[in-house]
Amino acid sequence: MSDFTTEVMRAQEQVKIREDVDRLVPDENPQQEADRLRDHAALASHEHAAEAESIAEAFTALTDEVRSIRDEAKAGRLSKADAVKRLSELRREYGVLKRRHASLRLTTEDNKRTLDDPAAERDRLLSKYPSLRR
Amino acid sequence: MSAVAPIPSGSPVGSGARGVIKQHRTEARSINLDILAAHEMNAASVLREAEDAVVAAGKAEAEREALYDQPRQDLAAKYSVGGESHV
Repeated sequence: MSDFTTEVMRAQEQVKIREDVDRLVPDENPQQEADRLRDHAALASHEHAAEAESIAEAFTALTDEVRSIRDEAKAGRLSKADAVKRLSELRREYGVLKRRHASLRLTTEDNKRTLDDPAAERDRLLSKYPSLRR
Repeated sequence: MSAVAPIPSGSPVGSGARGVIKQHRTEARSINLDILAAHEMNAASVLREAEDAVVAAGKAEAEREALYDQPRQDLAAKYSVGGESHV
């Protein structure tokens, strides 16, 4: 994974954490805050499932297209130059899907932590980012 | 009639029910990610195989051309008169 990809994923995580901390309402007690975080994580898990499905479908479509190019090139119906061009485009698309997958994995791991122990997650967020505490 | 009795309004949802919902969601998510990992590995493998196949097809094409081009050039050199090929 490139340094840039790691930075992008870190930035996404920061945004997610800020959103989570922003959901902590001052009038609520720690238990209510933890419940709110858990509810949000439970809802988010559905979005993650939909994203996972979307990425899986895109991987399937990409794989089908790659196989078709391979078969055409082997049969001599596609020139080497065209095959290389189309495969390099699909290689780029594969990289995009791979980054989406890595990002989703990070987010779902974060979500799982919240679902498993929302109170600990609340404490962790507030101690890690004290400047976000209101 | 529904197999699950409706929860009366205002009644608190016990931690047991929450646990079941939580477990269900956790399982569904992990299954999706496993499938996704398999999709990614498969796509990477198919891409590599196709790239190798295209390179191999390109090499075979170049070898065929070299096989016929060299004798053609030799003949052209042999039978050229005043720089003009008569092959």
